[in-house]
Amino acid sequence: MTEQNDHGAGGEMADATPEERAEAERLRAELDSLDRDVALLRPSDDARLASELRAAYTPRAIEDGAHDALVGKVLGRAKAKDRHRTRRQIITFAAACAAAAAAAIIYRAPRPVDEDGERSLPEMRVARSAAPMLGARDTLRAGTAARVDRIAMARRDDWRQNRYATWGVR
Amino acid sequence: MCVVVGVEAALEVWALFGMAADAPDDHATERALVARAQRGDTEALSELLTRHGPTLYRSVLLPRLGSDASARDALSETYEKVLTRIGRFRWQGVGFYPWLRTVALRVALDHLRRRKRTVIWDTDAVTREIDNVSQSTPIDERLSRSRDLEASRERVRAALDRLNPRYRAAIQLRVLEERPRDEVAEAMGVTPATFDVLLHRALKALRRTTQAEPGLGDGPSSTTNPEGGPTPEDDRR
Repeated sequence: MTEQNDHGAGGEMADATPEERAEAERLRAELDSLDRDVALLRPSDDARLASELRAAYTPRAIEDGAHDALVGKVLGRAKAKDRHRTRRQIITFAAACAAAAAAAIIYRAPRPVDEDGERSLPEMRVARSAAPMLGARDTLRAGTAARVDRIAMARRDDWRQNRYATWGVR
Repeated sequence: MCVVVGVEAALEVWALFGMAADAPDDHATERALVARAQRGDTEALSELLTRHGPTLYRSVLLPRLGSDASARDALSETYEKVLTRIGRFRWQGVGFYPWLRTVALRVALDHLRRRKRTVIWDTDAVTREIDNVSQSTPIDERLSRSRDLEASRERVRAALDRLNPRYRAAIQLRVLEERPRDEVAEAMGVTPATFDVLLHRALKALRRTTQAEPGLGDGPSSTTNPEGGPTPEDDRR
């Protein structure tokens, strides 16, 4: 059998199925598009393989304009990112300065002055004797340790309230 | 075969001499550009990318990724990585391109991992290339531009060698050499419509062969039918 008979129209290809012929026709059209450098939207597996083979065997150069645009885009994005970062640093620094200035003003601010020119002081709890507590009936009934605990609690409460008054948070 | 190897070796030596001749000036300029780019000068970086980007696209990215769209995405990603990592680059006397090529190879590897493998290049092959970079000499690195293109062609030839001669010829003439369909059909002694079916079967056979046996271009396999995987009888079905 000659090669022509094996592979010619009357031989090898005579048994091509309609599906195969359709795929072959699609490949023909896709290769025609690739020859004209037209990009394929949904290439068949055959066309994708043909593109890969061409890309590997005779890779085309990227056009100068496309390459310049790509470089410009990447560097432009980097510049924008730099500008954004700088702006953020300035804003953070300004906010920190403003907060520090506000704290300093509050700390240094003169306390409110009364009508007669005296600085008004927060109302503080004065030191007081623990004797009334010791005399209370409940306390007398309790033991020594309980009495000491009660005095300590009272003192601690006075001390805490005075701290709050000093800070101005009461 | 020996003649071809000899000519290729001579071309490489010639290329090396050529590079050596214009190297000092070129390298001094490039080194200065790199230094400026490392200090944040985007103009200098732009010039470096404009010098080497087109070669990188054509020799490294497009052959490995197989499509314009993927290669452009990868090039853009490579540039972004260069932008953030150029501070780590250390001048080693072979120019900026070998470093850029390594960055691009890593990007290409990421792209290949994310999608179905291409027929010509797979992740293993690219990984091996990246590994080879660490063992290469300065001379190897200078020759990497010309070798990349040749390596890619070699892989295509290795893939086609696994097919029967008629399928190989159909792909070689129509797809690789981009000769017109009618001309190829006539050269192969078939009608254009028959040639379409023949080419479709040839590509299908190639896909089947490479899927069955990945690792093209790594030398002939002892288990492969030298006639090319599927026989014409297989493909007639």
